[in-house]
Amino acid sequence: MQIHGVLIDDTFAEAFPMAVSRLIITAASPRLALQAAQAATGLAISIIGCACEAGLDETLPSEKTPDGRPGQAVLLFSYSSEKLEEHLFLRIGQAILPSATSACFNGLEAEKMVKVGSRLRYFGDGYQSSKQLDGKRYWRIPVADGEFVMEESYGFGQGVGGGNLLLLGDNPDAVLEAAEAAAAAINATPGVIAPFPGGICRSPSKPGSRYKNVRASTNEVFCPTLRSRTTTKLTPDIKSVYELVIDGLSVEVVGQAMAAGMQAACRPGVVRITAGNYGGKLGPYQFHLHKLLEAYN
Amino acid sequence: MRIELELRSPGNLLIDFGKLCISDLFSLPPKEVEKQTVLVGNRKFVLGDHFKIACFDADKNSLLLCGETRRIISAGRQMESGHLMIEGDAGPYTGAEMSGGELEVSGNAGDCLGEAMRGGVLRVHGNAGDWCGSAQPGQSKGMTGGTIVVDGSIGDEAGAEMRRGLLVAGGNSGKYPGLGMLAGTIICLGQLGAGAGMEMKRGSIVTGCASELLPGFYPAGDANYEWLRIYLAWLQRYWLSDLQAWKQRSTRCFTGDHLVSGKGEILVYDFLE
Repeated sequence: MQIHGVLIDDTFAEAFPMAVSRLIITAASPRLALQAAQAATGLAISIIGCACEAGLDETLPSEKTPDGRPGQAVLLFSYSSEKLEEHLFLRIGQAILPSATSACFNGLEAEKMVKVGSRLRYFGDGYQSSKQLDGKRYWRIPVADGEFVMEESYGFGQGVGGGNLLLLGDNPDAVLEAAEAAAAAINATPGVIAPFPGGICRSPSKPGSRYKNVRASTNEVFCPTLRSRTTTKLTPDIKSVYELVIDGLSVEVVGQAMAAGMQAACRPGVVRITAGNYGGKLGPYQFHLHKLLEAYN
Repeated sequence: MRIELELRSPGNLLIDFGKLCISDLFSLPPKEVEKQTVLVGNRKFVLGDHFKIACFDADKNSLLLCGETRRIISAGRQMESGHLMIEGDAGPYTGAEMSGGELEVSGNAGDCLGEAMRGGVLRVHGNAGDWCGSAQPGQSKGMTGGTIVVDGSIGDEAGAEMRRGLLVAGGNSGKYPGLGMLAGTIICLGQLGAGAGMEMKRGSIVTGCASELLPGFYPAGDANYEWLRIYLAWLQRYWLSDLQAWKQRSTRCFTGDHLVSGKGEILVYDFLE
């Protein structure tokens, strides 16, 4: 299959289930809400080293937030609910709570909840109080610009992690531009994140290494400078490769985002689009590139 | 199932619905509904003796009470689910001890509205009498959950001994709102009555206007409280439509009652010095 002269490999991206939570961060202005959201999703690039992948979801107008202020939704993924709870505690407590005028609400209605507010409330040192409204408990923690308000419990569900696209091109600048366009298209899809910086990963990895205690290492078959020393997957014309990693709330939104990313990336300078998989051994979800383009075209 | 009960018997005797569980009516066949007993004065009667009854198939369970409904006391007592609409005024003890469902009164409600309420929603389009959302006589806990929204004013000692839940009045409150309150929230958008929050231990009273508070309340400055914006946004979404202006405004905060614990608060939008 070709789109605008770009070859789409007949292959699939392999993805796996991850625990996911969605937070709604509000503040006095969209800028302050975004700052708090960026802080809360910092250094959450890859589950391999960070144990958490996080990124910005939708920007919410004031009429769509619980307190009627501008908001920013964020998604956080981890490999277990326990690890996710740990990161929620850490990131709400250390990034959102100190952010000026911020408040933090649950953005995912789910059967399973993790209690984060009931632990973080102790920052109030006895001056904290709670309010219950519509079946939800909110904690009020006094801070120096007023009160930090957060929900007691946050929902977590089963999301999908590891959706991916690999863009291979003969013009490094053009491939980078295509990757940026693809990342923008992916980020425009509600319910998904591209957790790498700018949504783009320059270091596709493989599990394991020749060194013990190293859990992941560079995927040499995609490194242009190693083509003469490895069983490369790059044809001679390929000079640059970028990977886009996509996590989402459901299989549907990840597929939709991957299709949007591919369509945005099909431009001059990109020779081929493929995806990473481990022959079906890594996870239960398979995103076949051709099927996605047919489904979401 | 939809049930309509129209009170057709004349007279002044009160009709006590206290032993009639509204939630159970919906599972009964129409003939059985007519046989349910109520107290009229001090004598037992079946519903069919005093009410014109009509039952219809419907997706949602609802009960309509109409006629001279001010004679009905304890309507919706211990209600657990469904929707009860009272067309007209409601008598005393309406929605007492209710734990779920929705009860709506198109007119005014008598005393003890939502007394010892545990859950659900009570909506009154007119005014409510004294002891709204308060404790039952001899009991230490008033409302422990649920929401009462009164479009008009509420009487004396509203929310007395309240433990949790939300009581909202669009108009004024009578004397001693939140008397001995343990927790929960009272929002009175009009003028707050005298003696507000007397001996309150925790909880919040929010008011549009107050002139003088008890000496056990100490000023704590002005603030635009985040939790209050959440409440106002929720109320605006579901119940009251004209709260936009309130959300932008700061309140003056007083903590108290310091004669008891000082962990409660009264937030006043317009404090008249």
